[in-house]
Amino acid sequence: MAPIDLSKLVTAEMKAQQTRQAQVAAIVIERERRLAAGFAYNFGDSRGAHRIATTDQDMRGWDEVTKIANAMIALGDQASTIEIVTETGPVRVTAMEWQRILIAAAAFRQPIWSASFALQAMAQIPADVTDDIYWP
Amino acid sequence: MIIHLVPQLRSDVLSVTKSGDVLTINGVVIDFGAVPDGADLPSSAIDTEWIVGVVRRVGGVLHISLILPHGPDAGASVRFPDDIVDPPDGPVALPGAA
Repeated sequence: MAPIDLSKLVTAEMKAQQTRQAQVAAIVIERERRLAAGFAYNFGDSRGAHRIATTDQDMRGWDEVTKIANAMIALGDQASTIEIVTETGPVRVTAMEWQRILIAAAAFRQPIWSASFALQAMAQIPADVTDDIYWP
Repeated sequence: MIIHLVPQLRSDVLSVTKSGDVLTINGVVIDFGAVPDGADLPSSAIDTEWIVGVVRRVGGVLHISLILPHGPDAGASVRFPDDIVDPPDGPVALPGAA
């Protein structure tokens, strides 16, 4: 009898697991795409509305600005400004204004994270995880 | 069982006998009973040169791809063979076989 190497058998359960792993990876890719899309923020004064970028590279810049703003707040400096560059153009913000931008960013980004977690927890992950109906 | 035939120009001869999930290919017995429903078994897991691709059981039906050797003057039924669907136990009638 010809030997069969059953260690190479790919069962239905293994295929289902591989499919789910691929679906979860697709959710993460879609989440990152949506997180990177950026959002609009209106300063409510002459600076007007700006489009704020949120790609991975942008978020590294955000970390830098946040550290500076935190230091200014720790020193009680509420008057000095930090120059940032949005997709709309350069603009100066105080430390406290930067905190408001962070809160606005959270309002934009947290629902995307929540939606991705909900998708990953589904017993049957939808075939098209890029469909807008699954995202805020 | 569904046997998909893969024609190949070569000089040797193939004979196949079926008994349930067991095929005897040129005298070598291969038992596919251990392939569960929904599973794939790559041909590299089977010690025979005659099976190619992936052995698969779908909806309880085994799908097996076998090389079908033929000579240079083989007819269309050999060079473009139909699948052999649900062959009865016993010798499998291969296209072009005498």
